[in-house]
Amino acid sequence: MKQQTESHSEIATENTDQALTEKNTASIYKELSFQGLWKNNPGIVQLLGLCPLLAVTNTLTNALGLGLATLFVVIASNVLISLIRHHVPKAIRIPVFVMIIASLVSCIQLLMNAYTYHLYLSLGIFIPLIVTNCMIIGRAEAFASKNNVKHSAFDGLMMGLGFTAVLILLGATREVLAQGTLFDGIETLLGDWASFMTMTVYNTDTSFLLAALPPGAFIIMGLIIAIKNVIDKKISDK
Amino acid sequence: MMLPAISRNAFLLGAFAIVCTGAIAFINVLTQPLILEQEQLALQKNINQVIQPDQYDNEIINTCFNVIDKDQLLGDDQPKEVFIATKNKQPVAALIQASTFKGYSGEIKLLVGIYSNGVIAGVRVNSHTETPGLGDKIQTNKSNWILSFAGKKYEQAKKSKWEVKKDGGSFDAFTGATITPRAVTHAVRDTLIYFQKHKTELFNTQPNCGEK
Repeated sequence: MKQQTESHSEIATENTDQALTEKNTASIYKELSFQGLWKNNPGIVQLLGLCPLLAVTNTLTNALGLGLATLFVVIASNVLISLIRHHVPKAIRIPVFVMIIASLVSCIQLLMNAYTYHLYLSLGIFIPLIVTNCMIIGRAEAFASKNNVKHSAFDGLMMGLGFTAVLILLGATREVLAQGTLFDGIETLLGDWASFMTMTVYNTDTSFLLAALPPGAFIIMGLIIAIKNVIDKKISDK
Repeated sequence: MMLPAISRNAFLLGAFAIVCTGAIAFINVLTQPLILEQEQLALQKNINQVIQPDQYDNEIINTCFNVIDKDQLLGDDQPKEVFIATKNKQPVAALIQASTFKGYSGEIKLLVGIYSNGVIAGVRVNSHTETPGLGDKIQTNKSNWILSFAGKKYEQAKKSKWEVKKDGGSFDAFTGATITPRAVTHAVRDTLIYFQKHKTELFNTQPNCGEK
C-alpha cells in the first residue's frame, strides 16, 4: 500500500485538474469528459491499473465485467471522498482514502459473488485487486479531495468509462484474434437471456495463441497507444 | 501541543475504520445466504453434468465426505471430497474429486463419477490453468474430448489402454497438446484404481458434509 500511495503523489502533482475548478461550470463537464476519455485516459495515457488491464482482457466478457466493477468503484469512491473532504485532516487523508476504497471493493466482491457467481469465478483474484488499481486512489487524491460531489462523480464516471473503453477495445481485439468470437460467455455477466450476443466472427481450429497470452496483451496495448499518439499528432499538425 | 492533534487523528481514523467495517459486515450478512445458494447451485450443476439427476434420488450435495489417499492416486495427499449417489438407499455411484499436477501448468481439478460396477459415469474439469487455446480443450465448452471417458472402465490386465494414442493407448489427444490429455487420462485411470481399491469403504462411509 505504501509504495502505491507514493507513486500516486507524483501523478497527483503532475495533474492539472485543479485548474479546472477555476473555469466556468459549463465547460467543466466537457473538459472532464475530454480528460477522462481521451487526453488523460487512465488506461492508455496515465497507464494506471495495467495489471488487471492486461490480465483479464482475454475475452470481451471478462473485460466488460472488470470495467463495470472498476467504473462503479471509482464513481462511488470519488463521491464518498468528495463528501468527507472537509472533515479529514490532511495528515490522515491517504489511510482514510485507502480504507474507503478497500471497503467499497470488498462490498463489490461480495455482491458479485452473490449475483454474478460465474463471472466472479472467472475474474477471480482481479476483483480484490481493483483495490490496487492506482487510477482509483489517483482520482481520489488528485480530484475528489479538492472538488465538489457533482464534479467528482462526473470525473469518476468519465475516468471509469475511459478505463472501461480501453478494456473493451483490448478484450474485443484479443478475443477476435485468439478465438474468432465476441462476447463468449456473456451469459455469466448478464444472465442466460444474453447468450444470443455471443457471435462467431470466423471459425478456426488452430487459434492465434499469442493474442490470448500475456505477451499478446502487451503488444496490442502498445499498438493501441501508438494509434492514439498518431491521431493526436494528426490533430496537432492541422 | 502535539497530543490533541494526534488523538484527534487517531479517533477519526478509528471512526472511519468502524464505519467501513460496519458497511462490509452489513453487505456480508445481506449476501451470505445468496452466495451459499449460488455455490450449492453451481455444485449441483457440476454434479448433474457427471451423473444424470434421474439416476439417483438422494440429496447428493449433502451426501459427501472427505477422503485422504496416502498412495496419492487422487493427485496428492490432500483431503478430497467424495459424493455418493444412491437410489432407494442402494449406492449407485461415487463422485470423486481428483486432481493432477502433471498437466502443462498448475493443478487440474477433476470430478470423476464412477458407477458402482466400476464404469465411468462422466468426467468434468472443475478448474485448470492450462494454456488457453490448446490445453483448454479439456473444458466441455471448448471440445467434447472429456466426454469420451463416459462408459469406460479400468482392468488391470489392460492397463496400457489407459494412455493417449500417441503413447499406444486408446484415448485421442487433441491437436497441439499432448501433455494435458495425458495428465487427465492418467488422473482418471488412477481415480478408477482408487475406486476399485476402496469401493466398499466408500459406499459404507457415513456422509458428514451436510452438518456443520
